[in-house]
Amino acid sequence: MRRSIVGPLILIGVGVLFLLHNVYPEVPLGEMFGRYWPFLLILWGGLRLIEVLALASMSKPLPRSAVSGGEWVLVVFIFIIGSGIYAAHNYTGWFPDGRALRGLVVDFGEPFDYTVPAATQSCGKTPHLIIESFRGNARIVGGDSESIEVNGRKTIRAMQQRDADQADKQTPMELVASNGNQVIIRLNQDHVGDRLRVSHDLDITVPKGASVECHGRYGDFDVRGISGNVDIDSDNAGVRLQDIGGGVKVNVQKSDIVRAVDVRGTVDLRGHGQDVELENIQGQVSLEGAFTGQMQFRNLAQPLRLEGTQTELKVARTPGEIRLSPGDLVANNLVGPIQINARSRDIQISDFSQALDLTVDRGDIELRPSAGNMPKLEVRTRSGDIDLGLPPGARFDLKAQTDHGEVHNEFGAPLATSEVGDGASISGSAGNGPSLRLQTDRGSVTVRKSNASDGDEPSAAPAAPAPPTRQKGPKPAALPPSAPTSA
Amino acid sequence: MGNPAGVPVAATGSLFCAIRGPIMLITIGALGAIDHFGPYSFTQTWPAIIIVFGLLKLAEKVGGRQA
Repeated sequence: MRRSIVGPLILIGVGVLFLLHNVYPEVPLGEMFGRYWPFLLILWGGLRLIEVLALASMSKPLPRSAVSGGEWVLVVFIFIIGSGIYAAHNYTGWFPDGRALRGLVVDFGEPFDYTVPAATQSCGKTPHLIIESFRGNARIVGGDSESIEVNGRKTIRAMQQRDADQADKQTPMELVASNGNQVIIRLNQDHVGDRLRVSHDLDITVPKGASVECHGRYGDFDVRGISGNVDIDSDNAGVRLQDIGGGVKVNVQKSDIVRAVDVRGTVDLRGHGQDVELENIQGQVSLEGAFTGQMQFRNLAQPLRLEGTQTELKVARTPGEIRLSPGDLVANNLVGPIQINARSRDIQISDFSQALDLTVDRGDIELRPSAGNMPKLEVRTRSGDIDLGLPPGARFDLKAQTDHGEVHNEFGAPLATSEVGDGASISGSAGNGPSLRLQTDRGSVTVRKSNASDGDEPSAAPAAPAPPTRQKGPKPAALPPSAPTSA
Repeated sequence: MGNPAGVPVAATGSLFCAIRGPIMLITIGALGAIDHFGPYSFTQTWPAIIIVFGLLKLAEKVGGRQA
């Protein structure tokens, strides 16, 4: 009996997806499935249709039904799981109340633009501004006045001008002062029916001492130059903050970017999104959730705590920078203790001190501790190569081991290598230094001399720092400029 | 439509029956895609599935009679 090619294709597809997930765990496969499963059904149906038509044109006997009962069960599963994931990720789906929240790629109707009459509300020096349930973009800038000024435009998507005009009248902007220093901007976007969509584009000037609280559904927030706190809670937002005197709290369900520069308070970021950029933050930084794009942290004066689905990271101070992209963590100039726990990532850390506790499921590790202050190391990977560059003349007590793989001693004395079963180890100590423990279950271990050109303790490096020889030539290491060993 | 060129009469009787599954799959997929990327929600468009199913049944009857 004839069998369709769709079954094997589905098997291959499922295999490829799982493989992709294992190799690149950061790729949001679940979310992609939730979003694109309808096209899977269309493809499936299309292939089946072509098969049936091909059989018919070759005058071969046709199957009684091209999609069997078992396959319909699979379709039902795809349907339920796919729409479940989609609903979870978009807080919408086919629940009736969710429809209004969606940022549609293709929208209906035509956009009609209206000017929002400028409004001013005097409020003293340190008002608390609240923007209620808002769709659209808001730019909030601190100024020298003692009042809140709002200008902007309103866009209404509607089928007809008449509907839009009416919706414009139904959605007046209100500035309401309450509770002493509180000012609420109410846009009444919900006052129109389901078929219309109202969004605002607002320019808001506030006194420098203001604090801001925004509840958004869809749209970007750009806040700069205020000395109070910023609290943003949105279903879908790009957030850009600059020069904020207070603390920052951002909670997004979806976001293309969250960027904060020059914040004097703490930064607390939660939710789901893509890129994150934090720079010059004086307070503690904590990040919780799934941010799948590029993450950059630069010049953080206080501890950073990151709890993601793939990576946990704690660093006491970050005078330099940390960059996380899907599959990599590259960091330079950190003050420990540092704790990293990652599932699948290549790790490269240079110029760090105090202590490093690093556990990686799968990934190559390259470490260049700072020359002056040798950190204590506790490094484990299940599968991956470890490459450690020690400053010449450093004091340490090293034990490195691989269960399956080779070790390369390019540091020389006092380290000695020995082979144990399928694996090997390097150990040795110089002076009375901190303990360095490296362990990989599968992979090579290399210990080499790092160039001490950036060493801040000349007495620690009596020997001329010679570039290390590379007889066995492990993988070419992309080294930071502070350790230019890659000749 | 009941007897396209080159297709023997015996085969056409089940052609509509055979394409019913694929067409239904494509319909459900298209409605899902419209829900995700288009203006209409599945809660609004689901009756289209019944309509397509009905049309296919009808075509099967008409096609079968002609055959």
